[in-house]
Amino acid sequence: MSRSASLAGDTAWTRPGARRRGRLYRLLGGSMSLALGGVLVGLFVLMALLGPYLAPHDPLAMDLSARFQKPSAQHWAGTDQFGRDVFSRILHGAGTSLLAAVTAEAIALAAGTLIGLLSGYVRGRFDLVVQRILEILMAVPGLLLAVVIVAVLGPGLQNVMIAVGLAGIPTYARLVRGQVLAAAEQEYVEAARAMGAGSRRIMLRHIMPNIVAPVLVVGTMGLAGAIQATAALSYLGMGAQPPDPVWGTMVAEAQVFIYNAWWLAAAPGAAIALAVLGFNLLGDGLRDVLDPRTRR
Amino acid sequence: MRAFLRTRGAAALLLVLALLALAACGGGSGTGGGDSGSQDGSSAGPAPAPGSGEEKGGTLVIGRTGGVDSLDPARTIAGPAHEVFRLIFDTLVRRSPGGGFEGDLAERWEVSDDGLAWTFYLRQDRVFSSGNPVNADAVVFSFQRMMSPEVPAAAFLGPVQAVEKVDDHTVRFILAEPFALLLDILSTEYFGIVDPAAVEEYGDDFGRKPVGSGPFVLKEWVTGERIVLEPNPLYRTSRSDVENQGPPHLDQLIFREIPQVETQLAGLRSGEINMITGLPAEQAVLFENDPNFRVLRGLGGISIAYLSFGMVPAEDGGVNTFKPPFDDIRVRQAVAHAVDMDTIVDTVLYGYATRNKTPLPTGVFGYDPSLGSLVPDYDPEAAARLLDEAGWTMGPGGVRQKDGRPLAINFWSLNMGSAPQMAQIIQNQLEQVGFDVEITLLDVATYVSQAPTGDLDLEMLDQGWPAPNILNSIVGLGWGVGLYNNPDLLDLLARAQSEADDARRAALYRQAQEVLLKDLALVPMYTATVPLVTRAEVQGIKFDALGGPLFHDAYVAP
Amino acid sequence: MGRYIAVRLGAALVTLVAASMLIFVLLRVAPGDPARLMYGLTPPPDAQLEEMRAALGLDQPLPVQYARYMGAALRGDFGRSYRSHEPVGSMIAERFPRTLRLTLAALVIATVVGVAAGVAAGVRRGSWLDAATMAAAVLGVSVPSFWFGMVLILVFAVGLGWFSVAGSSTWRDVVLPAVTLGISAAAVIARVTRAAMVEVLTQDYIRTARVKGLAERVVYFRHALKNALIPVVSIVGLQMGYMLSGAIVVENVFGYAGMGQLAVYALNTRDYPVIQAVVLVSTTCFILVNLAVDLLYTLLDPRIRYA
Repeated sequence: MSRSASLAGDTAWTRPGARRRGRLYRLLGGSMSLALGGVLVGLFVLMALLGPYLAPHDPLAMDLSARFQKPSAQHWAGTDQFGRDVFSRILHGAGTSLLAAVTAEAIALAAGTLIGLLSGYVRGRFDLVVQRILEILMAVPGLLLAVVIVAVLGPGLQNVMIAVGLAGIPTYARLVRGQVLAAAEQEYVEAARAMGAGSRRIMLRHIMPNIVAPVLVVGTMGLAGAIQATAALSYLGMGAQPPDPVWGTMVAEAQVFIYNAWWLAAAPGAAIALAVLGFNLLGDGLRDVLDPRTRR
Repeated sequence: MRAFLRTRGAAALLLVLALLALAACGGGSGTGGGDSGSQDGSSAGPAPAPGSGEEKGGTLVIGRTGGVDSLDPARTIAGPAHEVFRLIFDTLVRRSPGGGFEGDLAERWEVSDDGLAWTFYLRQDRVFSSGNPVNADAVVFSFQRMMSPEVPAAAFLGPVQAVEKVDDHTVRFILAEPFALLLDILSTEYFGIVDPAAVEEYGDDFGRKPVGSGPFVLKEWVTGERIVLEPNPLYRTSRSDVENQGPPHLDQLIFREIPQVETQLAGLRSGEINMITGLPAEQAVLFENDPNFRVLRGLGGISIAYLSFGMVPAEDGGVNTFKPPFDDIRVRQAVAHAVDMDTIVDTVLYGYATRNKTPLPTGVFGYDPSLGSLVPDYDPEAAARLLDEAGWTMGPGGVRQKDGRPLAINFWSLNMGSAPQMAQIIQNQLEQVGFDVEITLLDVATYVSQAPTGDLDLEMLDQGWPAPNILNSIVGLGWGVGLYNNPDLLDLLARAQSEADDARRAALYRQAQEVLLKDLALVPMYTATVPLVTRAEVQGIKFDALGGPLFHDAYVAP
Repeated sequence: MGRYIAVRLGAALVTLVAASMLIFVLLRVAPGDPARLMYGLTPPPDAQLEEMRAALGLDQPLPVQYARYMGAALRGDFGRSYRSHEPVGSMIAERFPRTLRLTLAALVIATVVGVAAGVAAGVRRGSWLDAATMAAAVLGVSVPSFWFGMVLILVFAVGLGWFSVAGSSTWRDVVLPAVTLGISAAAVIARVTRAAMVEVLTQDYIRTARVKGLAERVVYFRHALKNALIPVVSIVGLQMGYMLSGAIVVENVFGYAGMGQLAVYALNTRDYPVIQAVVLVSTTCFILVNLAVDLLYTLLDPRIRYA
């Protein structure tokens, strides 16, 4: 599911050929998106790590006499329905929100890569069976699958991560398998095999390096998708348990207050959008730098 | 989804009336049905100029969260369905505005001396919207249908064994034992009288093509989107709580299904819908001072929100015990002392609730506010003292501990309505006296399947039902206070239910509540009222004795 | 070609059966007994619960339940909803056209906007227009759809009153959810179109066409766009698949009574037959769309041939 909200799906990885670019585009599209994305992602990572120390207020401290306060010098993003400081909650929530996406993506990436490697390398019947299973997983709409998985595991952020991760496995498995198959055709692998190199050695030394770049790019963009997917599940009421601040849940809870306290939904919503934007730009830039076929 | 599932109920007696109360707005809202003045319709805005001769009509569009599964009372006890089919079917008796019961389809009734036979004499002039007469055959047919085991509401009928036709306009209920609550049960819309000819014609589809004798008939049902009702041209009533005794004025009454509350609010503001039911209190209050809208106080007085403690089933089948740390009554008392319920009612529920320190809802027979003295008042210092006495001393991080074990508890509730808000405030207040509280909010499906075996130390629920056997349902849950099987209590509840004398029955329910409160097996919190918000052009909505909206006189000003 | 389609359809059937089994098992592992849920919070007497379970067929062993289900499903009978007792087939028949309408509207919006923006950006590569379009595209996939949808409601339904807030019947109901659902697809399509345009415009035959003195517009639309469309078609197909996911959220935002809303409701009530049917229909759509995309390829690109 996470794929639906990321740019990873635009298959640019397999886009052949070189491009000529204008100066401005090179600035904006290539290094610029890498730089901008890098800065954004860097900021969010810093926020995740340092957020709790930078937060001006206790994110859980309630003050029922100071509810729904507008953004001000004291409360940069206003206060929520319990009088809690929204800015502090966003800072505190950065870690959990990003970690949730990273964990989900790590599950998808690790399992997907392993399956893809084995499938592409072992081939034969094993590959056939694995491909059929992946096809099934891919054929069920991702969010629908994730929603069912959350129903099985029960609501909560941890289970949302698992659901999003499981739904993302086929993307990586297919990508890696394709790369392995392509790499295996390369002359240097043939040569290594001819020279008597063992399977493990061929896999690690010759094939792995070839799949790192595409997985890195797809993974970065996948993170963007995972942030959105976890937020969407929170919106459907399956996300984190209160009172922990998690962006998706914060937006979901705040939308009913849109008429009397728009900042409640706007602030975490903007945080989500900016984080997703950062990962998308970073992935974009990485692709331009790493893909030998689009590099110029 | 948060708000989709609205079922609730009790086995022996469900709560679904109150469903609205708890489910629709969750823990959310309300001043009690106890607020008598707000229930008589006077709050429904200026009355139309009498005799002005203006054409009353218009289309009332109600937005709400829940989905309707079926409009057949034999199929569902879900709140959103009930909210619609109560307008399509009439019952034998109804609650009268001044308390007690009055005839609806029945003109009068009598009880045999032994309390085992109830005879109902039907009005002879009532017809279904199909034109077929409402007679003894229809009543017998309706009840036989409801007594089938796969009917969710069947268990409500308790000791009713059979319903017989005496003559064309007389039916008799035969009971296995006296049942003082029969009229309470028969007045709920689950026991609406259906048109036998329509049931036979439509079979399983009756739930989509319901035919009754109520004020409205189903015109169109676009699943998941809208249910369109139109006035029943053959309708007549003897209700004293409405002016119009004939078919309603409205041209159409439409129930729209809109899952997200924020979307409902947008619809109300854009004029696409002109009424919302079951809005959380914190939303309803925003409309209070806006001249374009009106906030009415609807269903109320029949639900009770409470905290209860985890229990451990006795291995020998004997009396169950409380789960540590709540096996010490001082720790249970500390919880009651720690939570500032008055402030919660005032500031979180914005007064859309009545503080209630007893297990029975404020509007239900047997409610006795004097029992409230048995429940500890808000006093965090007393809470701290009790915890100290119980051996839970303050440890690092503000969390108490005893023998190296932290005072950590799992606090469960439903993920709907205002419950998440309420849970966070209670968590906050408990943590201030040294508890370490972890919240678990679940959908109903997961809750009922995991609560009996799950790691539940403290829970907050809101149950509703218009009769005192709501207590049976509270202690019949199968977890939490539902495992409280004190034999004295069970005996008192059984005796109360079959006690015909009002005074003696009230005394028995009082004793039963005393047992619960002296042991502090649950901490009652409040009785909610469901707010209804309408646009200013909606006029003439009145309320029945329980605060359910009546649309007989309603119209939408052009 | 005919044989290819037959093989693909055969494989699709296998996938469908496997997917149905997967969902069947997942649902039954999920906590929550549909019979028990009919009663709300307080459980009924055990005997009554057993009757209810028997009436729903839940008292049978799992393999028997599955065999019964599949047996009936193969005959086109998807059973009746546990809750409403309606035939699931007719529930789907009512909901599916709505979701299809929403998805197609979103797809049309996404394709028109995406291709137009992509062509414009590709042709004026390096210009401010290019930069702005691509920036908008990255932004378009970054905003959470439930948030974006709410903003659309506030502006265009409540503020301007152009469209309805909720509903699923008239065109006024469909526009806002379709835009919400289509926005991220539009962004992706714009990027792919742009890349393909840039790619194609460097090809020899375009240079030839230019040298022949053809008008720029003819070059762009007759020659370049046609060839650039090939990757665009594949991405449009893929996006349609994703929209089936996106519809779950969007339908809930807009109270749009389609399959996504039904899925969430049915899941909450553990209405197994309904969820199974929703998954089956969604999966079938996904598979058919992919097949259609592959076939479209052969029409657009004569070099691709399926044996």
